Amino acid sequence: MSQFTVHLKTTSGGEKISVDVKNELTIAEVKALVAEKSNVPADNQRLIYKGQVLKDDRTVESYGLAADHVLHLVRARPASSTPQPSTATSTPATLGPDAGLGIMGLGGMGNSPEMMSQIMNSPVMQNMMNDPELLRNMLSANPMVSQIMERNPEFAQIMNNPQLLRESMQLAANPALMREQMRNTDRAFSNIESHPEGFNALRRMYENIQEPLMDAAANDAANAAAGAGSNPFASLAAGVPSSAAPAATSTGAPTASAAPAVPNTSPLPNPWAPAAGAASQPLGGGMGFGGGGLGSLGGMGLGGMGMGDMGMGMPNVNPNDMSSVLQAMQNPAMQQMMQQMMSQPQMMESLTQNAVNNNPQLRQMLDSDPRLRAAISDPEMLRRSMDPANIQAMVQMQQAMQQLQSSGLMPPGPGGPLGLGAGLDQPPAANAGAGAPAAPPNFASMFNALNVGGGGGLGAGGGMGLGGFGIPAAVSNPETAFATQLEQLRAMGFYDEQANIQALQATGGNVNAAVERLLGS
Amino acid sequence: MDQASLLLNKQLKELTKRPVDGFSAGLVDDSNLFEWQITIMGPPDTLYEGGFFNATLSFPQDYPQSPPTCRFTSEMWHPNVYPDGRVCISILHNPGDDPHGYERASERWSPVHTVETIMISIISMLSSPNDESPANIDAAKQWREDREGFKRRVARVVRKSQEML
Repeated sequence: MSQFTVHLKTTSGGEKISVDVKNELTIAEVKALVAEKSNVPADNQRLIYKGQVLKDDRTVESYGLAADHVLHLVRARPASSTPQPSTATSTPATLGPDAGLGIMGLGGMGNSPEMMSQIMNSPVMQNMMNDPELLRNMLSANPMVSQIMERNPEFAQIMNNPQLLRESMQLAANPALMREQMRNTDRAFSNIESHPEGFNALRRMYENIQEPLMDAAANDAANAAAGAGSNPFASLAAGVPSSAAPAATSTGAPTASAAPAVPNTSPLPNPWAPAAGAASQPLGGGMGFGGGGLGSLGGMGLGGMGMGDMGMGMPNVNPNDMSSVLQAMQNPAMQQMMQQMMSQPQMMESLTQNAVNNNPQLRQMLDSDPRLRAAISDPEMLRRSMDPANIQAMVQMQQAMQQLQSSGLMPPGPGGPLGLGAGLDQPPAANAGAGAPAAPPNFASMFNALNVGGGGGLGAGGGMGLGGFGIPAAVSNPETAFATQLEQLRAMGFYDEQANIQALQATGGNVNAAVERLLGS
Repeated sequence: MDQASLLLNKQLKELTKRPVDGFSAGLVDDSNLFEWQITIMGPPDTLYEGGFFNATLSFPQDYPQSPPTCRFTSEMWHPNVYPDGRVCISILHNPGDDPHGYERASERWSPVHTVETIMISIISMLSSPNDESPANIDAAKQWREDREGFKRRVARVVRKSQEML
């Protein structure tokens, strides 16, 4: 009788074991073969195939095993072990992934898992996800986070576990899973609470981990001022994730006269703030994204920690924060991301398009100056304007101007535009500013206009524009637009991505109709 | 072949070649694609860890328009499993009928569900009972009021499922 190979999948997620079997072998003999290749003694093995646990005295043939079929191999536990629910006994020391995720801010994202999924499925995010190192770097770039990691080895473990990180990312990419996970987490927490010692454990966990995290987040939020909305922890702390973003934008009420005579520590009022709000609405202002790009990451709780320092989470860049922008620009991860973004002209174009559509002020600006429109729709121009060196130059100019203003050499506010106009001719992005009708008194607002509008997230934008990134990508890119549906189709067993996309496009995203179509063709 | 058979056949092939963690699925009788047998491996870190629970999935002829029913054939003790073994989870309920009046339509059956997604929901149900919709009143009551007793009872069910092997 001929020999064929079957594979065994272990529950521990290790690699598959392959054994050569023959039809007339008994299951007991198969187990002996498996024992040679694994560290599981035959007596402890349970082989499960096609919904049944295989019995030792039956033959391979009687179960209809065939070449390349895959069985589950489960190590049977000694009868004495009493399984304990990890949730009920969870202490900071045994932080399970569930709890970890919960703390990490998934909660803040709950309002719109679909949105999250779209963002997570965008190519840039995909790329980031595939690079755990990058994620980790982003996290450890934040001193407060690394402090927490030092004090809590468990937390460090979570952070250092690329698989877990990736898993949480993937989780976020799948709305169904995410909802499930959040439900589980909620439930787990309520379970913990009902356990006598559980509440104390929760309290400890809160004190040891969540509070420092929130502190870190709050700090970031302070730096990023109106950026609070983009910080899941800040929203967590506020307890009203959905209200954080609108509130944040409203603090930036336009007061043109407020250009400060002296550098202050509070963020400059942002004349473009309302537009900012408008632009971030479609993204889900409720999600606390603000215009803050890596907010998508932030949703994962990762961003919230890594962001502030990297300047990535700052939707409204104020001059005082320019240095963080610079810092962000110096960051290889950031540069990589921007480069990637820039290398996709279509993406850029749709970004710009989207920005224009969502930002009436920007549109007005564009309408009033055809040159500006040309500049903005020219990918080359955008690319150049994103050049770190250029941005740096602009930042320096901004700082210089501030200096001038504060020393009284240059009148604040109204006088600004003049100086601006002059100064603006140098950097390539200058066209944008020069064309601005009522040129905002400072560069920061200009940054904002472009960044928030997502106009490629000029400078400040870049990676930060990522948040805005999700939407336009969704519009222009069927893979992202139909991410959820594609996921569903895949789950139903349709693996031909191209065919799926075609079907979805033909049916306007209707999964049922797409299935009919796929099966019919 | 009709749509239901096509879909089920596809899923069966897929699950045989690439099984999913946590459960194993096959047909009760190779000539009938609509009756599946499932072995659920008690999810790690739950009360049900270590158990091997058998269940059947019965698909209607108009799958995926209507949901299958899932029934544990092994003894089970869980707030959301009826004493006769039927599983009560929202995604297995037609959007039309809502026996408990609390489920949102989005949580109920949708044609995108597959054996895999259903089983994952059931496995997740094992790890986190939903006592808002008790199918087994006694189990739900014990879950709420006498957690230790509930644990012991589940441990017994787990042991029994191991002895059945």
